[in-house]
Amino acid sequence: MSYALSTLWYDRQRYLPGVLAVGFSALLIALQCGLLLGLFSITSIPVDHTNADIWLGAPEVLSVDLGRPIREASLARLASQPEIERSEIYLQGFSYWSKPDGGTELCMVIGSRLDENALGKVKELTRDLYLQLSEPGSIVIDESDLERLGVKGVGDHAEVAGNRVRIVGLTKGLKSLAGPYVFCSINTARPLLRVFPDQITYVLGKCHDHKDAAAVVSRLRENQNFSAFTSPEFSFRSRMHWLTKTKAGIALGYAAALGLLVGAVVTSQTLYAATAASLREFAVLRAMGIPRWRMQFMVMQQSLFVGLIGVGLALPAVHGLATVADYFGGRVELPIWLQATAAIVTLTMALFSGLFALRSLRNVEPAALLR
Amino acid sequence: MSISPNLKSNIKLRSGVSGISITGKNISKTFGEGDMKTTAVNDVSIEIKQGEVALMMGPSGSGKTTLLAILSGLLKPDNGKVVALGQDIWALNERERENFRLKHCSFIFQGYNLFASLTARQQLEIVAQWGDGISSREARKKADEILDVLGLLKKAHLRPGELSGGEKQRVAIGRALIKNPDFCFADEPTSALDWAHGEQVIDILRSTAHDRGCTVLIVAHDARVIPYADKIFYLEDGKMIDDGGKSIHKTYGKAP
Ligand SMILES: Nc1ncnc2c1ncn2[C@@H]1O[C@H](COP(=O)(O)OP(=O)(O)O)[C@@H](O)[C@H]1O
Ligand SMILES: [Mg+2]
Repeated sequence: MSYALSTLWYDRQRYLPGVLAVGFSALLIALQCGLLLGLFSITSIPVDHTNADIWLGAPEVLSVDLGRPIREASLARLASQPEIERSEIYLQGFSYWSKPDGGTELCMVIGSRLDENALGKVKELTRDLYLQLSEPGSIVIDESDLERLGVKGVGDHAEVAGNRVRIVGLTKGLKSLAGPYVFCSINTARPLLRVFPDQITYVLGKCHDHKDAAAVVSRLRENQNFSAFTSPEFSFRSRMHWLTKTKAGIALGYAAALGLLVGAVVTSQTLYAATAASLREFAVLRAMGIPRWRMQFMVMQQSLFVGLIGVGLALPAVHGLATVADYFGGRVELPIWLQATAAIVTLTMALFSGLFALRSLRNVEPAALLR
Repeated sequence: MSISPNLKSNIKLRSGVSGISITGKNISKTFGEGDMKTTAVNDVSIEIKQGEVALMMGPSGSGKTTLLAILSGLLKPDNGKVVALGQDIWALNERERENFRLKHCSFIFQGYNLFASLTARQQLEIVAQWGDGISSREARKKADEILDVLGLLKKAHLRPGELSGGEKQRVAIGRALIKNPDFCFADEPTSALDWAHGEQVIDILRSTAHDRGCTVLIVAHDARVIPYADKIFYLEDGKMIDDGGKSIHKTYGKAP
């Protein structure tokens, strides 16, 4: 162990490219996945930031933001399930925002019930905010979207789908992807989304015990008129839809594979060259009868250390860059499983590079010392 | 075939063991084919006793290195037989021969061949740990003992880049001695050194032979090594010249 480390430390300049290659691969994978996760987590905010256990929507709905109208009568279907504690209707859909100074912008209208225990109200809608929303035509938007929507703040007016709306409050930190969120009451939402009075987008439900959600959902799935999901399912479905729909996942896969390949080539070349530089020394040991596997083992240890150091450097860098991205309004999600996966994948790459570098030891022949 | 120069023959053998340690019989080795064919060693026989310092001399290209490699189990002869410690080493398979070298043989070469990245102590430890599989603690203890004997304990933490040529060669000797070998094969160990340091190296090898009973075969160019040898062989064009030392005197002048 110590010989591998001693050599690594003494020859650190020589091993540096390998360490950096591993680190860069890990960084690339973690940061890219993290960025995508962060990006697509935005698509499921309406699911993740609310209190429902169950979502009932149009058949085959692909993502929460792609909900189509269903009949309000579906509410009864959910409400009649014995496990259900409460259920309510929910409206969500894209609409057009006309800025006061002209120009339009796509927006995402969300109409939900607004009482204290409402299931469809995002948690960012504080009591002060949702109480104001009961007034018809009042809306809340996120402060980060003010500029995009061409308004200055509370009190400003705009039009959504030809209906005059008034901004009564602002939320913080609710980023949107395709169009800014416009939160309002169900009654305000109907004209903004141009749905018929008996149409809604989702039915939300809460179970007495949220563990029962899966059973309720599987029972409701037999109904052809709507689709049913638990909220974790719907959240995941929404994210995955955009991930695959946008082909971002494929781009990510390519980039990650390319990063790994480059990392592997650089690392194995580094290890190869470092080993090749000591061929005569290894040859003396071979002459003295020391088995080749000892040297192979040392190269593998070096590749492991190169990997560990590379990953060790990469992870703090990933967190640093994530913070920077956050500062600039990007969003990087770094769940532990992602960090662990990035670390394991790059470590494996480093070990494979080590295996590849073992070729150099084939040239270790004591006969080379005779000249 | 061997000449005993005016040497104090105070050879201390390990109690009970005396006699032949290694013999080579009718050894030949050629390299290349056709026009390129070189006979490096031509029907040479040699015999060295345990605890002896045998010196092999001869002009450049006379086959000294080739013969050393054949005797030490590194290079297969075309003809002939090598018996070391009662084993016909070229009748063993590759693995057995490697194991034989592991148990019994050490090497020193002209070019030190020390790992640039390792300290003097580590150069020794690595052989003890990887060769005998002993713990790092024990290896360190052993290494320090040897380095102490070699007068290098104060430099144990230094790397080859911080050591002089003589010190490096002494570290290489240390690396050879830490496994307590039965044979030590040294190919021109002094050629890169000035005589003061070369003499030191030869002196250490001599006491290794005489005090530890290690059989030492030294290939050297320098006539000043002659007084330290118990036995001298002279090669010319791959042939062993046995003329009572005349060739040696002719080539190297009178032994001092
Ligand atoms: N691997 C080899 N391939 C071809 N010829 C060789 C090889 N090794 C040694 N020789 C030749 O064998 C002869 C003896 O070489 P060597 O044993 O190295 O001599 P010395 O050590 O006495 O200088 C030389 O002519 C050398 O060129
Ligand atoms: Mg030679």
